[in-house]
Amino acid sequence: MATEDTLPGAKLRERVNSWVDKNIYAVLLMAFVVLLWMFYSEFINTRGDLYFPSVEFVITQSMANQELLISSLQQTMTETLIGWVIGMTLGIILGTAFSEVSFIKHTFFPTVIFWQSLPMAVLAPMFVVWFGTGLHAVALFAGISSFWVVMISTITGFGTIDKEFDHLGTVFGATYAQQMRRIRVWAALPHIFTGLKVGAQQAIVGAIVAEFVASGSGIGYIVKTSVSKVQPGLMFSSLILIMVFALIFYKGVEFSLDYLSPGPSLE
Amino acid sequence: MSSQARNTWLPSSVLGIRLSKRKRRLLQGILGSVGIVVFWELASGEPLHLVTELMLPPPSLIYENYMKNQTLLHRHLWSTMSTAGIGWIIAVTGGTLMALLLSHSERMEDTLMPIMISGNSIPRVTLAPVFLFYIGGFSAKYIISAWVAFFPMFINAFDGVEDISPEQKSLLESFGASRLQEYRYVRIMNAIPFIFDGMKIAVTMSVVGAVVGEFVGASEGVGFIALQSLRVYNIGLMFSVIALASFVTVFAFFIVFKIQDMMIYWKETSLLS
Repeated sequence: MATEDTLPGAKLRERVNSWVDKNIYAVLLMAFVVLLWMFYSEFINTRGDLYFPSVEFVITQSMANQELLISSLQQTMTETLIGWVIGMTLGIILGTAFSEVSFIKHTFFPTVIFWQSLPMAVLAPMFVVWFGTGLHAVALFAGISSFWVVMISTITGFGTIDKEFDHLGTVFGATYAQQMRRIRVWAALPHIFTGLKVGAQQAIVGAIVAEFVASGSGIGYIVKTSVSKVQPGLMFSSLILIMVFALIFYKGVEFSLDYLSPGPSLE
Repeated sequence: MSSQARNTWLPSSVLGIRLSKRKRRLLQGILGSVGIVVFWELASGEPLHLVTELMLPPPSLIYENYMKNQTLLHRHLWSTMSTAGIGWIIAVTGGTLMALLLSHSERMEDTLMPIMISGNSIPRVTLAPVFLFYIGGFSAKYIISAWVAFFPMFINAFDGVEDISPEQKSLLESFGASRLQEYRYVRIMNAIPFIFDGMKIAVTMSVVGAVVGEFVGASEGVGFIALQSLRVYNIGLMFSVIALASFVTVFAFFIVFKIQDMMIYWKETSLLS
């Protein structure tokens, strides 16, 4: 007897249903916000579209500038991605070197503390001096922003490994290389992956701050200039694009890292 | 690593004294930082000229520039730091209050947490021009600074208030503790280290918010001076204002760290947040 479970498409239906159950609240909230926005623009807003744009105004103004929006978004996406990859590579390499090589750790500890607690945004003009106002400066600043988070997470990851793992390595007679490769890297990996995820967010923040400073192009620049040119429709749509991009980027990184994570946790 | 037996470390044999391991580490760190500054001075300044002064001025030039423009820099520094200070106060009190509010009940958390998450879903500095547009020049910078610092503070405070174990909850229930007693004796004490961590991050973030607010539109402050000196290519002034702002922020961070270190005796405070 064919039940619902055995009908074709049952598995897909089940996945859709579980997605809907998890996210229905968020979807309803978004729909509610859009309805509130339309209600506000229609009935409450007395100062018109140039003060607070209605939904149609946002759509029409964005359509009119769509090449600009799309090319700026592409540029920011490239910069963020390059920056995150640079930050990830440098952060993991230097973080590992810092936590494993005792000389580096003790010599540069105050330096790392100093650089970690200073406000990153204030360094953005420096990058413009060094690399001009193009894509390079923004990508490198995004790289520096994400580098710090990744490095600190790597250091924390290697620093909070249980002593039992070191004892296990000693008992098995593992050489240093074997200990690193087979035990320590895997024990530190959860922290490093968390750092990579936060690093992705910081890369976006770095890209946007650098675009505020380097008066050139990119979606952060669009946000800034659309305010001074009084184009609130463009401002809103660029904000929405940034939000969507940040969400997709973070979810993409999270999904790939979860896919790459080894199965059950080492605890 | 036999540390006490042989003192073959170069600086201690040079100085002719024997140092404990901890003091050695400290000295090593200090020498490392001093070494970097010395290398920078030599590389950028007279002897080596690896980088021109227009790209990266040596520390001596930056200090000289600071001395020349002291009144100007201090005026703008005060503007930025007072903005950041007020933003910090707003963010810390607001974040702690919101954390207490959300921890009150499951329903509060389910209702208000999506708002918190959606507020944090866009990079916080992105809203700086928006705030400037809608709130206007004068109070917008405080709001921007508070907005950037608020969410990390809230997340830390919320984690702290929620950090009680099931055993603690059962203990409170078996003692018949009222809500107020539960908060006063367990939750808030538990949350204090987390709140301090949040305050440290909020120091940095509030300065970031103040500076970014000045990047997008201001007439005074560190960010404004940095951008202006960049436009007129006065690189020395730009570097000196950046260095000044960085030092002051790190100093403020260190003060909060020191207070945390002195106040919290049951958990070790780490410098790496």
